[in-house]
Amino acid sequence: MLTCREAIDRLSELESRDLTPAERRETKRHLVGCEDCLPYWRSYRTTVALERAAYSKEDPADLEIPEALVREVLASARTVPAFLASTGYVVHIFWGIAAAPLLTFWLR
Amino acid sequence: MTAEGRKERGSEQELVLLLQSGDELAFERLVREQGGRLLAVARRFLRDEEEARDAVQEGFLSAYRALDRFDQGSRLSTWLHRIVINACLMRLRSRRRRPEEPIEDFLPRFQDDGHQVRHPTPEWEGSAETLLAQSQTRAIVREAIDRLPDSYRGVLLLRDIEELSTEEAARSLGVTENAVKIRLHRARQALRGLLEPHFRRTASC
Repeated sequence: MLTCREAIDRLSELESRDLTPAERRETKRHLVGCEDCLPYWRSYRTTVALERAAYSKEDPADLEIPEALVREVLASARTVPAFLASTGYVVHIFWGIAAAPLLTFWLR
Repeated sequence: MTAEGRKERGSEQELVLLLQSGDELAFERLVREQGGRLLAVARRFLRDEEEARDAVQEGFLSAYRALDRFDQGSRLSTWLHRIVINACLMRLRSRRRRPEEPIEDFLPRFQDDGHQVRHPTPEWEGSAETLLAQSQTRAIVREAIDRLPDSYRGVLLLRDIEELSTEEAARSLGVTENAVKIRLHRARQALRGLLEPHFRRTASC
């Protein structure tokens, strides 16, 4: 027989169907038969449904990107030279560092 | 895929090609189309407007640098979404710890024999559908989510709101799948504890 603590500890797995059929039966048997766990289970399921709906009707104004942020994003992207905006940028930096001593020697 | 879905996918493929060729107008279109939604996501994680904007900016910049590596295995919006979430999680990890209410305050308590300390457990006023019909409910729930400690709120948002799998959430957070499951359950229990004073059925006179 499960204790209240054990049954409530399984609630998340019950919701996500991660329990074996036997565990599921055992858990539900306790929940349905316990005057404290049954209302707790109901309110737990209500909580999960409420949080999933919490952001489903956001104010359209809250879903707009402020113009200032658009400008900041575009400005920061422009600081990335086209040739650096690629996986090769590390290679370019490496060759730049490697070429420096050669350039110094040649300029002497 | 429906005809509309194919048309949308085609349009996205065109956008990706333009982006990968360095088309600035295409990038601006991407920022305007996706930025609002991504900012809303960042606000939920970071609870700070300035940090949320910074995370979105970092996310777009990371995406801009990595565009040539986007292989269209997922939707562009999904890819961006993940980048911004990772930017938010990195900020949460490096953030100086703010005073937080201990989650234990909102969890159920048990006696040594495993029974709940609280007896009887009150019923709530109604189902989620009933409660959502009330205008204040969503605001109450969001405020309660905001009160959760960062590490628990993060898991709740990733799993229940952003709908990442346990495996994806574990990878994003750098923890085990078991840790994600435990934190999610505790976060849900704590949220329930925070919501109970608002929604429990009051005794009728």
